[in-house]
Amino acid sequence: MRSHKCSVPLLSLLLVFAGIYLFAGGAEDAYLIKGAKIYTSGTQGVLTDAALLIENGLFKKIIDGEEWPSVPVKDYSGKTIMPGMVDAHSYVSGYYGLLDNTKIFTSDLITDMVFDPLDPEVKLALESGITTVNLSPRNENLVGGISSILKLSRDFNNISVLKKRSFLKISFNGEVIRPDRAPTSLMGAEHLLTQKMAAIKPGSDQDRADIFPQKGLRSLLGGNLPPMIAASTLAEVNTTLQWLEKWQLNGVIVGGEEAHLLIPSLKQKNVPVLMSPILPSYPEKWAKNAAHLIEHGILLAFVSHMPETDPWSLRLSALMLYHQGISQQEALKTITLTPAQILGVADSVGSIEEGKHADFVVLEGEPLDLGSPIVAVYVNGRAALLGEK
Amino acid sequence: MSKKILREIFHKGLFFSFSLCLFGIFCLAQNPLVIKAGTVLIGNGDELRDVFVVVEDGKIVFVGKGYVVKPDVHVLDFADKVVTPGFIAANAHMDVMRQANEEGEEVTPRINVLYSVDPRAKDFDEAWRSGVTSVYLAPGNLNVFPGMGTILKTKGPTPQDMLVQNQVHLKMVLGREPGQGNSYPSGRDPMHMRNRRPQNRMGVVFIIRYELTNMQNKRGLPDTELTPDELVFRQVLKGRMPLRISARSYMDIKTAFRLMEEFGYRWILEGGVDAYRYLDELEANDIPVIYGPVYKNKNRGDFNREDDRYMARTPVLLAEKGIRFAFQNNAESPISALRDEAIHAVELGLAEEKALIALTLDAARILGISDRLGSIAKGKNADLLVFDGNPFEPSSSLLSVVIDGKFYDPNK
Repeated sequence: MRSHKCSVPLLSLLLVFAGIYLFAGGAEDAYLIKGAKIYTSGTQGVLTDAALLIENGLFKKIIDGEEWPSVPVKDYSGKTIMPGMVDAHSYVSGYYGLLDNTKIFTSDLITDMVFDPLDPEVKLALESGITTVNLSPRNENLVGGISSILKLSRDFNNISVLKKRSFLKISFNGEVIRPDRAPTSLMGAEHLLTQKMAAIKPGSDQDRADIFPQKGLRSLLGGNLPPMIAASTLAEVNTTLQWLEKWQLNGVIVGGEEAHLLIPSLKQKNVPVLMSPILPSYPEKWAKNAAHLIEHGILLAFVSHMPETDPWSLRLSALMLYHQGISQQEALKTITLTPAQILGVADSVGSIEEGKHADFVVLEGEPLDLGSPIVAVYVNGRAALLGEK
Repeated sequence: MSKKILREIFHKGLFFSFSLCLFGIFCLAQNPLVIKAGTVLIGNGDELRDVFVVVEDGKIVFVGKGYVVKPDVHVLDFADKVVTPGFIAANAHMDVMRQANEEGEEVTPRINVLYSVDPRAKDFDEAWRSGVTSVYLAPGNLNVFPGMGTILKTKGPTPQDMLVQNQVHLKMVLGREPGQGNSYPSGRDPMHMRNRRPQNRMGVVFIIRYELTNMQNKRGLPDTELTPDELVFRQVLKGRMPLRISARSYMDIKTAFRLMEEFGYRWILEGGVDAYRYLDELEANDIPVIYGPVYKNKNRGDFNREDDRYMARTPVLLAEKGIRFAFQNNAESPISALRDEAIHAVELGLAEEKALIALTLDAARILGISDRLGSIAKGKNADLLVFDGNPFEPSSSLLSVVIDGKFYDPNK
């Protein structure tokens, strides 16, 4: 009875404090971005005269008029804004940490632990406009592990993981084939994987005694984890498609340099392609092939494989695509909305739309003009680069 | 009002011309390919003169005289030319795979070679340009049981489009090859993958006997309790899946016979450089031979050659005995040398009909695809070659290649 009496004023006090905190916090977090030309990558297309109301790290409202709420204003007149880029296959900050070379099946490893916010690569990626990455295990293992989708951040107290288990990384890439251990051939790689999967029946406990119970492969077979398969050449992509067909799985191809040779099967099986970036050193036909894939209605997004290639290659690839006759907005989607869709996180990132995370990039000029530098990068509504407020 | 009518007429006209166009395209697609040939060697030894070969949808629908040509159909006239079936390489060592050997294990019967095939490889190009329209491909010889082979057409955009039949003949390798690379130099790394059995011929036989005896002991078990690998061996022991035994020297061929007596499998001899020593046994047990190459054979290290002339005349001796045989190429001779091998055998005394049968119908029979390939007959795939003379004259050249009813120019 006595305790009850005591708790009522305590509770009310708490409520008042909470109210003050929320109110103050809300007022502090909310601000308005105006003056800039906005490439939304979403349904609204390009907005030339709109303002973004950002609150609690989300795009609260896109205001297309003069009635602005009374919140602090950041004026980016003359600048352009695009959504934060989504890199669907990256080794950022953990190139040597993303490979366990002791076995070829390491499907238990999850990559989110490898992310190091203090690594200079993270700064590089942010400076190039990348805000979301799918941190993937490397290509050297047949089954590398489970990838995680993270927001880039330079603050080690504040790492936000969008999806801890996004894909199971499988590799039919040439890097998996070595002369001193199995597999020594592509057909052998497929055979080993089939053998392993046949041995792990979903629900059975036969290898619980093992140190690594191959949880990743189990959830793949149970349908809880989609596969992301590294494949570059025609034979590798073909093997991937046949393997997906054999196990009745829906997967994603990473690399896909020669995927354009198998457009009918890709289309029939509805397999998206996360394509390696188009670099200036590559022949022009690569960009042509990528455009070819998009014209045939295949979901295509560019990835950086950072640090194997530089993070600015994402914007460059979109530019090369634009030169092949793809419209500017479509080209921008291949590094923003499409990768988010392929990763299954398009409800929170990938475009500037109400309710999504406030991840965006402010540029001096047009986003596809490589001469226009990046002025600011915002992740979850906060400036992510040093020297910014 | 008049405008409306005009528009309607215009629309109807548009529709009419559009449907006419469609009909035209339809007609074009339905038009059969009619070839009028002076000489047709149909592949089973017979020769037809002045006949029509009609191809529709990639299949032969008519062979013979008295075909009534529709007035709008264009007839391809090969009056002074020779038409033969496309050649079949009953075994091909081609560089069309990224890695032809899976050396992780010695016994890998379920390996699917199709995954390693790259259709754009140079050797496929060389193959169809020299008249080889189908090839048998199997994993390489560095394993004891490297896997089952696959039969492919030599032209197509993807491996699946080229596929004729998958999982044909389980390959088994006798001889030194499976041991190659296994004997790792001592003092390096005892746990290395390559430090394993077999390292020589007796190790190879041990592994074969181990696998097959193991399978014999499981005779009573139902199929559901066996692994996929064991199911393949069960097919072999029941005689449903022939073994394709790669054996070249006389002692390896002898081993194949001894193992046959022990396990009772059905088999095909591949390589068979010393097959002339076992003609009677081969005939008695009805064992086909995939022989080659007699042409440019420089691989002298592996076997003892007491008489080169015997060895080169093996096709002649096989034909005399009535043993079914086909030609193959090896790693040292290009795939384009397949016709040259047959020409060489003809020079040594093989009848031309027999040489053509070996290149076409008998190869298809050995591979078990003679219902689709191997001769010019109604219902078979339209794989044809057009020569400007006798195909076994070295001077006559290949003019066109037809694969699945499509013409290709080998000289372009």
